[in-house]
Amino acid sequence: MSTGVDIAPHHYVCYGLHVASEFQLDELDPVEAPPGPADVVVRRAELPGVPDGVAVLPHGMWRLGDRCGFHVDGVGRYEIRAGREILVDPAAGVARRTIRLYLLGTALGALMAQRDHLVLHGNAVRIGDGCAVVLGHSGAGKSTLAAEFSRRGLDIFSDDVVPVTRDGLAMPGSARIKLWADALEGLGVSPDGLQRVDRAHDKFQLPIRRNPLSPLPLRWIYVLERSATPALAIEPVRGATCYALLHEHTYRNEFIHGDDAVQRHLEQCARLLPRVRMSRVNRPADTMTPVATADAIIADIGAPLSGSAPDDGANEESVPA
Amino acid sequence: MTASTTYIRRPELHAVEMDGELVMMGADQGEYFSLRDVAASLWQHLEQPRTLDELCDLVAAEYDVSAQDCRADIVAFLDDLTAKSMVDERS
Repeated sequence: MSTGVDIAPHHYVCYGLHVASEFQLDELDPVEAPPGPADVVVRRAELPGVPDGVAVLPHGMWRLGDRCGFHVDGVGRYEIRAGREILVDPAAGVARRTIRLYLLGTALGALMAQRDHLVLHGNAVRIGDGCAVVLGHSGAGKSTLAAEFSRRGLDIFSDDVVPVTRDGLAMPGSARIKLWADALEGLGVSPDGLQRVDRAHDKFQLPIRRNPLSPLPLRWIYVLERSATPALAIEPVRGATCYALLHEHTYRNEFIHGDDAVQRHLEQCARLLPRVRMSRVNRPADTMTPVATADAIIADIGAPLSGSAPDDGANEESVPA
Repeated sequence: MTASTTYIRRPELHAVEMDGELVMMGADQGEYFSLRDVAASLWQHLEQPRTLDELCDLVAAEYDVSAQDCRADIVAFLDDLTAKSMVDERS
């Protein structure tokens, strides 16, 4: 096992943290080495896997106090420690970009959760001096919608993973959107020259133009859902439903396991919810397009807000398609 | 249910309070319930073992209702909590 002084030649900033990595991370913007120690160190190590006596969660995940890890067949083992360190034990012959896929996804997401962030599975977009986050299951169209927002000149905060601080600030991530080939085609973008996410997926990294971003207050949460209704409609959600939706769309929510993790997650949600307006975007499967969805969300945000106090269930926020 | 049956909330349930509403995650991951007013108050009382009579008296002391009049609602609430595995019943 490699211990002692880390020689980490690559330096990046992601989610507001300085990351020093033994691995070159093409998806992040390189920066100068910091004068002091980095916030996060990524290094190669031999990992034994799941510690004795620890419950194995789905997908080979485990958690023990401030350590957690996971294992992906043919890719390798990852361990995340105390919000400061990511250790990677790559499988023989695995492609570097595949190592990065899990490193920048699950591992970095777990690290942000260890740093007491509520880590949401969605895309964030800057709206004025705040931001909106769009949640949804894989395949719901989050990234395509983010590409549509970007096309309209809005700054995309983060793709796929949005860490939110205790004070309700969303942290900016990588300036790339991961899109399936058919989604690129729908946007009229050729995949030629774009890097594939990895060999196994017909999914590409689309770099986006954006202004430099600092953490911004999360003000709106939209959950993309399929619905049987004839027209696209935005419906406010309240109370326990908000918690259920936040749990459902917390990134890698398998890690919310054990008394301390459950209580912490509940408290994170309770701190965030009074600061945001949460809505469901009910989209009929036949007619859902990124353009119509973006129009509806922007109209909803632009609608006169009823102030920060929770309103009493009036349905004036519904937006016709 | 007998006069000596006691109820106590399951210790592993986690709850937070928000705008006077108590939100908790149920026994199943990702399942949430919210309680307010009398229900939230009853939940606080269920931190220790309580009989139905005790719960009725506690509610009658706190709200403008007689122990007899709130009894049926409390029975229904306890049945609901039991069905959701949120309380343990001990005879």
